[in-house]
Amino acid sequence: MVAKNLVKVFITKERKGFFKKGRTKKVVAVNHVSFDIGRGEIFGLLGPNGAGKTTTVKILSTLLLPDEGDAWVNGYHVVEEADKVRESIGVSLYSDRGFYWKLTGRENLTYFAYLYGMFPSEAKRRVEEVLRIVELEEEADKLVEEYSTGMKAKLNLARALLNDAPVLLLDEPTIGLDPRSARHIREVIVDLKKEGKAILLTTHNMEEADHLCDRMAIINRGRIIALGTPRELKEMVEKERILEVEVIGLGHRVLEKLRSLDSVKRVAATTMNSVAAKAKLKVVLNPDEGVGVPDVLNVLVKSGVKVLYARIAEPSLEDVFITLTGKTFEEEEAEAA
Amino acid sequence: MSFPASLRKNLLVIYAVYVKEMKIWLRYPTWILVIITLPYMLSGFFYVIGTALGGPAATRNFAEKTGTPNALLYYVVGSAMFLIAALVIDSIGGSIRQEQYRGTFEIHYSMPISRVVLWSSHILPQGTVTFVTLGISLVPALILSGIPNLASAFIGVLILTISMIPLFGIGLIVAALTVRFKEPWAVTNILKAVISVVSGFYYPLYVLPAWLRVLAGYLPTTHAITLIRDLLVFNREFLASDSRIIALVVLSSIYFLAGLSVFKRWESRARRTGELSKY
Repeated sequence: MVAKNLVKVFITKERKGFFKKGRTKKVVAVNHVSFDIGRGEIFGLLGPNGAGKTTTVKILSTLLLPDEGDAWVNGYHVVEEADKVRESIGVSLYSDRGFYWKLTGRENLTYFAYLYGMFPSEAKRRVEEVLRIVELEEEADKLVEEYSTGMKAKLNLARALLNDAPVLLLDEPTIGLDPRSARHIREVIVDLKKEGKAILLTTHNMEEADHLCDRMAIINRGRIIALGTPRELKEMVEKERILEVEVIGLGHRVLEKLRSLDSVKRVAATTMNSVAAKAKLKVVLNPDEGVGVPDVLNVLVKSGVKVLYARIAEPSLEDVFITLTGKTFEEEEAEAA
Repeated sequence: MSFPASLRKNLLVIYAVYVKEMKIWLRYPTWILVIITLPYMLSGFFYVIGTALGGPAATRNFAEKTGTPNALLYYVVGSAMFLIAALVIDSIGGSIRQEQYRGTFEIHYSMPISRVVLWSSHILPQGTVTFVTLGISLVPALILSGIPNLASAFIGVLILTISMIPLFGIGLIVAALTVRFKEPWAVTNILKAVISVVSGFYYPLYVLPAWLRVLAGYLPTTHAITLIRDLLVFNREFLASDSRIIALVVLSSIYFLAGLSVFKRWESRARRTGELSKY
């Protein structure tokens, strides 16, 4: 699978009040995105909501036409040979939508199996197989309207596997799932990779990306800002000293105070529990300016912030994103909105 | 027996849609009662209005103007035709809208199938439902009217079903407008009102102004209702060479192809603008 300089621009219209039309805005959802994925490889697109991950998947699955650039899936061009591309892909687009609620899981899969050109006997056999792969046999005869989010996510993955396509496009396949269901879906994805499938996986779960992906691209505001193996990406920030602090009662002023410290290069905060005002701080320390850690803790404690724990952290993909953008996913999403 | 690959794929799409739609229809059983009883409720409604307006001479006037004293059958047949028009126009736009809400609409576009075959296949389950329910619905009226000719009744219901094809074309245009503007009800209600006024479901066409009669000639429902009334109400023989049958077939093709063409144009626009996934 190859994407070359893909560009997609959407026009959005603002609305104001009852009758007034607001501005018409151009949103560059995908901005010169390029990557390639080989057989037996899991390639991750990691980025916050609105970064352009889903738009990229939709271009590769022929649902959207790119404004510029080219892409080939299984050797077929996504615009000029769209039907060949559709025969080569399995797509999972939503974690809990895309099914007929008044049909059972099995009936839904059988319907889609027919659409993939399988005769009833073949469809029946394949549906049994994919139900077994995603561990949904027990629930297969329940109406989809009775399914939990986790069951719908499994059904979604099962549908993507129906035609045993060499290329899989999985858009946030574990979003909103309980840890057990998410773990099972990750295991299935790893097995599919072993079968030699080329897998494009989008996620904003950094640990998932780190655990699953052979290579990945970090995408922000439509642009790929880093591309490599998880190890290569983390090496970009290995020289940084990162202090991770879990706190309660963090405010904007405290953040500003921290940012003004000479020993601090960057600070990013992620809300962990908005009701309890619990947050995780990632403080990138300046190695040239003293020890840093006592300065940071001093500011926090003096400002009345309760420090739950503090540690020097191993660099993670989140730190790569923070280093490249100066923000966490959460801060980026809030700013983009 | 070996099928050519494309024919096999298209037949499987038709089969898949048929099984899926029929299962969904049958899991909402209350609609059967509505479709069977509604022609009688609508007929009663118009009969009472007619009697209130026409007074004691209403029935005689009705017979003079329509050519039959059998108001019950005249209205029930008209209501059945109106219901078909309303159902098909509503259901194509409405069901595509529902597919959008469910997220099933967009997923079909990532599959190696003909969308023309996919959406057109919905005629068959819709036709089955219409054929069976309105067939059942017409039985009491036919028995009460003393018309035992089952062949005529069968052909009448068949014409009702065939008249769905052009309506399906109109439905596809409505569907394209619906997914574009996300507001199905305004378009469908205006269309249904125009069709019900102009087609002559409840009165003979000559009561309309001349310019509306010209417009009526371009509506498939006008020809369908006239054909069915000839068969069921006026006991005329069915003639395959009847000019109204030719008009119905020609209009069916035109409306259906126009519907497909508008829908296909919308599809290619939707793939550019991202409208496939908007709901």
